[in-house]
Amino acid sequence: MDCKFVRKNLVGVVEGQLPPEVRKRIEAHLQTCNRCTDLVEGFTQAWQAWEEPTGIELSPLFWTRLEQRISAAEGKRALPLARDGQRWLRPIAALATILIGIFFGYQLGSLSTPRVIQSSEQINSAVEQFVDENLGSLYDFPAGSVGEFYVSLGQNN
Amino acid sequence: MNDNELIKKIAAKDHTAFKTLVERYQTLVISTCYSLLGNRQDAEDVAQEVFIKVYQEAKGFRGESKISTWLYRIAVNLSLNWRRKRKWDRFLDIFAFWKQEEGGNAYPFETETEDRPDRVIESKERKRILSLALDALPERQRAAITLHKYQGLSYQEIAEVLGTSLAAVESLIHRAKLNLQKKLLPLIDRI
Repeated sequence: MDCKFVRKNLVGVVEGQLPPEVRKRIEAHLQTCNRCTDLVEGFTQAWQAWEEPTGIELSPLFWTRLEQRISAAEGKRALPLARDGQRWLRPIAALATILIGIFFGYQLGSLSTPRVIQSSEQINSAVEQFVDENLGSLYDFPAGSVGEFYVSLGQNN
Repeated sequence: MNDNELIKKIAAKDHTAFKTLVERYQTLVISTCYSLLGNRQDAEDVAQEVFIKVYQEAKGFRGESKISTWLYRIAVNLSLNWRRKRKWDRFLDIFAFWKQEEGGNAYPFETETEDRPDRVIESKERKRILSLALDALPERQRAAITLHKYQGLSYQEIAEVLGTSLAAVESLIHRAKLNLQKKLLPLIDRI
């Protein structure tokens, strides 16, 4: 039971921030439990890493690299109009493409839209219009039967 | 020249003033980035980004907080962004299965400690264990405890850097310690 208690309070043990009665209870347990003693020892050592310096060495080229990057960034800023132009070019091109697409789509759609006929008068006028447009040449046929017409064709040849 | 004068000159694109600021604060910025990233090269790259941001945004610095607080804030934000980006890159690497051969050991300390005759943990190993446990913390907890433990910032200063309340920082650090305890236990048990 006290092993669990120790494991729950490791940070407190290491940082010495436990209330006196808790600390006494843990110390009493540690005197009888080698496993927990090892654990507290290992945890204390791991926690010591906070105190150790990071040991990071500064690169002598840090400033040189930084200066180059700043100059490069300033060079890019020297042409704000070109930069703004580039920034606006893409959305404008995208919008133009969409509008052109809509225009052509509308044109294609209007070509194939079927005529909707809703009354008998409309049917009659549509038939008349069809006959006038497509079968008008029949009225040019000579009078008489179709048979006579073909016979006369043969005679002419 | 004091910090506020430096910032005014940097706002006017004075390179000499900027160099003075960099020399004055590069250790602070690089060590903050390093403690959050755990990698020297990454820390230097992010530190460069921090100073570039300072150079570009010096005009907007109103002087309401100390320059060091401002630098810590930028360093923490950029380091956390960098970590998120790296996480995403690592996720994408899952699909690039051929890259796995190049990868290192996920627990590099394991092989080194395999045949250890004693239980004394070397300094390098201690840092590695702590770094692994820190890696597993949520980012704000990691930032708070790192600023407190490595940079020695007070809770009030951390609150200013993270833009939060003192009570929130206390809670973040308390939870960070409990989580670290939980994460460190299995790592210590393996040794």
